[in-house]
Amino acid sequence: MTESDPRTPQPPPLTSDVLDRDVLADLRSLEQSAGADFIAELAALYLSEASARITDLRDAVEAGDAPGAFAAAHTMAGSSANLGATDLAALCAALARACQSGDLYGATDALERIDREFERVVPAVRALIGSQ
Amino acid sequence: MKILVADDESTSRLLAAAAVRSAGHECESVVDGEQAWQAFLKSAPDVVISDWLMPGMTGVELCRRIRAHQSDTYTYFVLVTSQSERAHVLEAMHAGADDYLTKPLRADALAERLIAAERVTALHRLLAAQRAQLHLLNDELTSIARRDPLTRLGNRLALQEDLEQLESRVARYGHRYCLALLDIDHFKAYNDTYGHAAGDHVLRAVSDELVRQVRGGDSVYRYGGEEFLCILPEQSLLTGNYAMQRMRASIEALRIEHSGNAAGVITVSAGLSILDVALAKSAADVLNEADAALYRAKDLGRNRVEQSTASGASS
Repeated sequence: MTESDPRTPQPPPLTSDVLDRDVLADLRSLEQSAGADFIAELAALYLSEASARITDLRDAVEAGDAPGAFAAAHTMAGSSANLGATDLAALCAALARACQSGDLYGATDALERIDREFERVVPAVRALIGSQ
Repeated sequence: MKILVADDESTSRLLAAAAVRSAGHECESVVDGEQAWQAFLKSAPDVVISDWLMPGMTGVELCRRIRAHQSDTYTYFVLVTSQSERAHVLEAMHAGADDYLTKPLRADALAERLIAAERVTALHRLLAAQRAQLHLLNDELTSIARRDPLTRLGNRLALQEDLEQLESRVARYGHRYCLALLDIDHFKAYNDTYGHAAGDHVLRAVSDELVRQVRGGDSVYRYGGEEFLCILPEQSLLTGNYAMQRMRASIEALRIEHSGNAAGVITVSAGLSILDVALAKSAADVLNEADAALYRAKDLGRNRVEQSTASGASS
């Protein structure tokens, strides 16, 4: 482990909510005018793509493909933020920044943290579909 | 408004489209900069909401391309960036972006931007409409300024501009023009006898008849008080002379009473000359020659056509 290495992207402190309440409140308010299935549709779309994107990210990191890893991490950060998965988004954004500067050092650790957070996010997002 | 959303990430597209439609606007979404550019050309959206980082073309490049495109309408451009790309906002504003939003996109923040967008694009539409109207009025004024209000013929200004074109066509393409000056015989006496209102009526009758008699491609101008100028393209002095004889006869055939004229009716005298590249003369020279020929026609008894005897002109 390289926890203490300053070059390692540091994980942000985890909040208690997996999905940000404010973002969810915004989405619910948008759903009032966008149609009853909006959040379910958004959640389903996220889940349908996120696993593949994490696989892409892992493949790129293992291949030492910094631009590829950046693209996957950047996209993952954006989509996760849209669903209110703020911590996952921050982890992905931090990894994207590191990859952008060509630095894959510590990327494997970052990937592990992303995996762990993703495991927490998936059921929470799935619940958004179920709750409709 | 018609709004174009460009983002390579699908949940961002869905979110932006829902926010746009909730704000009461039409939305088209595309997945990259190139598609956005094609959609922009095809549907001319009022607003483009573009992600900064997209494969192939960044939002800033897209913005630059849209701004470089000549168009009557204005497209309001909003760049969308993540927090970490915040540094690109300044570059985007310099490239012509009107505003920016940070991800994750919030529906209320987008709605706020769209209010400003609506105001700005409406203002630009108004400007474009006023510009078009100004253009139209300008054209109308130009056309009024070139026309004699009494006879509706081209006036001296129109003639002067057309002669410049003529001269260059003669020089460049070797075109040839016959120029004929016509003058109503004893018109001053007509006005003195019948009054100026009747004189105006004669000017209109003569100009109408000249317009009727000329062929397509020929032009007639009101040169001065009772003087008219005909420009006959691609005519020799001989064929130009035939044409002027026909016109002279047709004016006489109008049988407009003129007791102060030998013929008892309104008649015209004409003098003609030729503008030809081989003769290397200016239009002003040729006009002077036609004028001299017209004076000779007057001297020789009026109601007749004379052609220039200047060197080369009779060849």
